[in-house]
Amino acid sequence: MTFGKKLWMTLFIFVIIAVGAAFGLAYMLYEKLYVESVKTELAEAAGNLSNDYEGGDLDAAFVDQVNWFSEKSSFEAFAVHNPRELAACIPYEADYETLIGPEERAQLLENKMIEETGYSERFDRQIISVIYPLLDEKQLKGIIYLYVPLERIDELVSSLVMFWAAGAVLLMSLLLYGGLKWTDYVTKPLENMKNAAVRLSKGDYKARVPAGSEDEFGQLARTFNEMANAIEKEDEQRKTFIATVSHELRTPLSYIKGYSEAAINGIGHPKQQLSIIHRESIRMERLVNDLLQLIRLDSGKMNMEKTLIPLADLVYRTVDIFRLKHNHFQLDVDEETIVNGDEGRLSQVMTNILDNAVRYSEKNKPIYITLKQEKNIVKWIVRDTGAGMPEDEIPKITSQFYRINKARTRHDGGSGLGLSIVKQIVERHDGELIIESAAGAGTTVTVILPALIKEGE
Amino acid sequence: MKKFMLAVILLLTGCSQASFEPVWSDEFAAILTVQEPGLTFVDSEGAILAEWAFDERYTGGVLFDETILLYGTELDRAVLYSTKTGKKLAAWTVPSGITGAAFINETKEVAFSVKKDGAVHFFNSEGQETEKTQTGRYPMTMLEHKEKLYIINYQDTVLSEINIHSHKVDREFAIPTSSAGLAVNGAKKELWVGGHGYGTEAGETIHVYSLQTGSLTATVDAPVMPIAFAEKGGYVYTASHGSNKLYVFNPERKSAAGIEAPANPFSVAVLGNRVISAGYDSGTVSFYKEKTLKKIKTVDIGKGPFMIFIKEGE
Repeated sequence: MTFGKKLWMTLFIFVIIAVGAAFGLAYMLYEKLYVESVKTELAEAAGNLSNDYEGGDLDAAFVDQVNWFSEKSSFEAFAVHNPRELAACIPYEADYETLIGPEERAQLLENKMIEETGYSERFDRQIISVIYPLLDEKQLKGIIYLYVPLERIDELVSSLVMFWAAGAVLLMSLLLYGGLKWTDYVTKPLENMKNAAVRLSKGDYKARVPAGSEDEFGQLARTFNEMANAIEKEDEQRKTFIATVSHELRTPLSYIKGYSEAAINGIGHPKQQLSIIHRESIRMERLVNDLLQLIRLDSGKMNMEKTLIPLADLVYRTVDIFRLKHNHFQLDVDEETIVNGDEGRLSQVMTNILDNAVRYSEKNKPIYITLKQEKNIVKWIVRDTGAGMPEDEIPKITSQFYRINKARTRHDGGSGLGLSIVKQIVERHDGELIIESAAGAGTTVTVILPALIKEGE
Repeated sequence: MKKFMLAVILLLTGCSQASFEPVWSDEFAAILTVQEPGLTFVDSEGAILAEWAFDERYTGGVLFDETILLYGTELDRAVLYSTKTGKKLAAWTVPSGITGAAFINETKEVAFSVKKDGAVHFFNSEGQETEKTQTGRYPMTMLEHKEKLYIINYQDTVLSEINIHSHKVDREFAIPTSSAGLAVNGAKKELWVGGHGYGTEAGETIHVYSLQTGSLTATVDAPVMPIAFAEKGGYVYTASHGSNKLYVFNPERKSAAGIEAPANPFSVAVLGNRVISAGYDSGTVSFYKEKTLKKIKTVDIGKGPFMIFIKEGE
């Protein structure tokens, strides 16, 4: 059963219960109020009639008067003075049904009126009755008995039942029609979302749901759309990545293929050709290594073997490697800085950053390297005065295969993965990578790592 | 020492038994109330001599030899109290459904009318049942007169006359149903029978039967529902509970006086020169002069006075 049907069924049951309860309550109230009002009227009439009783034995005139009242009013009324009917013989056993019982007689002797509702054997029907005592001193001289058959009330009620039933049917129809509309309104967004999810699962990443309302369904729809956006973006990134990787691999491969064919065919200078083939192989190797590393970092499969490292040593060693390519470094290194990290990876971070700095700097321009500790962090800053980049490029620089100057790709030999790797490694060390740059003014790369704080500091 | 101990034990056990206020007077009326079960003893001037309250609902009794035997329609035992000491003397095992009782002085027997089996059960003074005589449907009012026991069968149309020695029904009188109340006018050898009437029809007359022939000799008007009688010196006193009236009839069966009785009187009795009647609804007992029925006094007595027992002085 669908949620919509369940909702509708629940509503249907509630409507039936509500209408039934309202019906029952109305009936009860009506009967109670009506019966109460009839009782009050009966009691008043009995009281008025009894005012004419002046004591002594009940005379015929009084009895006639009560009979006259009975004829003229809507109540049945009569006066009784026969002691046999008034249970006067109790405690002698009576051989017939008396009009009142011993308890009633006792109550009447205390000048208390009796009100009763229910079946009367004497009249063989349901009645509302009032018995009013006619007392002379302590003698029960007679009673005034007034009653109304209950059937009359039921007849009144039954005429109303038709109205009630019609009202109930109309109300139920309205409620159910409204309920149907409401159920549709509630289940529509769910239906949309289900359809969109099916499309998503089949690879249609453009699938979205309308999210107009501000209620929970609207919120859910918006969340769903955000999720769909994320999936779509991820899919695009995956496609771009594959395309880029293919492209990046094809370039060196085409070199290798072309020059090796030339060599085989004895065209050109074999040494130069082999040199190019060798260079491109190295580039491919580096590219593949970088890719592998990035994928392992991405998937969290790369283990960090952290030890205590004096960062100054690492800086000196890396700088030394680059002195062949660039010999103008200015170092401001705090030799006391120690971090807890994976030496190999941090070395790679330094290498990749310096590689970029060297690559984009002119040979005679200095590269500034600073290593310092500020409270509980270590700042590791590499600043060059090279080409720099426009500010809007900065957020993209750590993306995979991103190059600012696409034309320089083939010559400078970078894979376009360096800063992506740096970012990943720094983040795995609970650190932060900050890149500041301006076109033509150089670039400053700051790596912030948590410092190892000596005891007592 | 032993005698002293015995005396102490007797005293203790004596005290532990329930006893009521003794009635010292030789002459009194005892009024049985059924709504508030109890007995109230009064003298002929309306002074209360003693009041006994019971845990059980007794619906009738019989007074004899300074004792009173009480029974209840719903009870299966009757209890015997001494009026002189207020102590309970015995409890008799009796059939349940007793509606009336009479003491037969000649045989020292107590007769109980029992509605369930339509019979009169005779008990000796030891409380042992000796005889049982079938009479009719619902035997109730009983009166002993000259070695005969007269029994009204309340839901029947016969009055039974039982010989107290043979315990056999000698004669049956044709009476109206729902008859109640018996009196004998010894001088005229008449039996007076009252009644409630039949069905919703309230009785208004007393039926007078000849004790010699057993046939109806006269009717006496005493509206409405004369059901209790007392007789003294040829004068018959009647309580008509339907109209709350007391009547006195002279030996010629002529109405000598009539007066308002306490509300719903079920009993009338003569004590000395006073007529006493108790109102079931009013819970009062009124005292009247004999013959003239001039009211002297009314006394509140408790809810539902139903029967009056008379103990005449020696």
